[in-house]
Amino acid sequence: MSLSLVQAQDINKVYGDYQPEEAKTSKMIFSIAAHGDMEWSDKIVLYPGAVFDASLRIWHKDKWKSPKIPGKDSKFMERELYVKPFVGFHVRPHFHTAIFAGGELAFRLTTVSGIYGELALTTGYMHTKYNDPVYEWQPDGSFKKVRAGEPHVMIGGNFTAGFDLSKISGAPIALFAGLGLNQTYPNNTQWTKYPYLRVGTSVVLRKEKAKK
Amino acid sequence: MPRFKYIAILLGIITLLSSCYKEPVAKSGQIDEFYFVKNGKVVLPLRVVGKASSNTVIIVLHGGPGGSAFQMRLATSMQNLEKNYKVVYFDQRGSGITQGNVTADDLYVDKFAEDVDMVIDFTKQQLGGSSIFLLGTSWGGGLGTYYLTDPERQADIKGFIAVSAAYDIPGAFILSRQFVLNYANQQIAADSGKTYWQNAIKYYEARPTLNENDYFEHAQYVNRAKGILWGKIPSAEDPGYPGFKLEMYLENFNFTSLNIRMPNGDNIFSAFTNNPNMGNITLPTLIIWGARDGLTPVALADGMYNLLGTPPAHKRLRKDYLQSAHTPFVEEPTKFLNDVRNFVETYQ
Repeated sequence: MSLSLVQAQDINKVYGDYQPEEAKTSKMIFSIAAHGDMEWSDKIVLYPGAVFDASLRIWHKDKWKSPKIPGKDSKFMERELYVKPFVGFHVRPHFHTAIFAGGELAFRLTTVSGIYGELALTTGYMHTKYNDPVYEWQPDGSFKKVRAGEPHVMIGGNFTAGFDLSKISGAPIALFAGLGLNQTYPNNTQWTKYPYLRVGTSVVLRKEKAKK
Repeated sequence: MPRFKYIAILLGIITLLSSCYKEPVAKSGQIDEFYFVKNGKVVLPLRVVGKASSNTVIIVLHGGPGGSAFQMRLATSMQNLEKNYKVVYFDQRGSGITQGNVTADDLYVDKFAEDVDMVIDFTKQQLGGSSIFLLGTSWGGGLGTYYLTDPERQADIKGFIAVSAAYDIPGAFILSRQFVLNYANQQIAADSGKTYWQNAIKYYEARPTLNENDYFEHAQYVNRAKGILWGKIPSAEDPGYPGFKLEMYLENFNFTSLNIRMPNGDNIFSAFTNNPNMGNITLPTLIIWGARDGLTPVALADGMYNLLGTPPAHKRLRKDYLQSAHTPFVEEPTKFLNDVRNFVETYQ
């Protein structure tokens, strides 16, 4: 038996005792992102917006990676499932301002180096408000200025890739970018697609649970 | 401190995104205003662009059905009309980029006409228009014809500009079907796209009468036969409607174009003909037609001229648009501009 194999066995033994306690952490993430409602024909146009969300971890399983150099800390990949309540808006000039809220179910895989990918399914509600003056025609032929908007249900999904600095340093920050698609109903009995681009930052709160 | 850095980066990104669309700026002496007009639950987007001091207003009735007036505005001829007059663009119910929840029950042609009443009222009350013209193209020309067969409605209008007007859709279908068959036979004789055009002939042999279910496929054949666009499309200066949502436009087009009905419930593709009532129209009318039109072939132009009740001195027929198919305002913009301007100057 070579020396290196003995060392590896020792390390595994050490981490075997260490691993369960290290994995007992809770994690919450709060994010803010610039949300660009996308339009393209001959070129891509982005209409501005923003999204705020909180990620509540409901399941996780860590996969441990032994260090290549003995004596260094072990690291782990994270596989997590989140419920993410969110609220956001976008503005299409001379068309509508949309406010949307809902929840996402997201699966996130974070590598030992902090790079992560996340796939999310979205359900929610979108209310669009006409953002130019609305004049309602009255029975006597006159006009009355009113506020008007339209309700929609919303479903969709997105893929996000990011870099979780809290994984490799003490900074509780992550940066991310992603693409997604929401579909809303109804608009003249049709579903309408809203592709979007998001770029944002998160505060990642990791907390070790009390040791027995 | 690092946290502030990230927030600064984020704000920078938001600012960058905010600058990614172009807000139109009206030139000196011009207006460019956006509104929504609401008729019950139906909300229509409306844009008025043009000479601020002008009391002459041209209201545009777009084609399709289900199309968009905001797309029509991309034509240089329309933008040049704005130099002299106010031009009102609005999307019809269920069409273009209209939002809301119009259902098939809301898509009766008399409701479309009621919306035109609303836009005319809005033009008079809110935009200061005292000299109003209707400019309808294709389906919009048909809608304008339908609207004006009511003599009371003519009282508010100085003149009607009918461009490739679909005033008789079943009649247009017969002529258009023949247009494609003629083109197909020419192509087969010339050994050009033989298989494609042989299939086209089979398609039409199986459909001696076209209806709404055939509209999209028929339109594709007409397009391949250069019956919709024949000439070149000059590029427009203006990028169009700032918040235009193409996805919504396409969905609306697919839905609305096939579902408009006559007051008795018949679909417009089998029942929309104004021929019996066109004698009621007596106001000045300019008829413009592309000589190569395959969707509403040019034979309809003579029919319209003859059916109108307008005295000959006040109706003009311009079918010498030799480089145009179904969209002369796009294909021959200068000629179109001159004809319309001349007509409006005469009757405003």
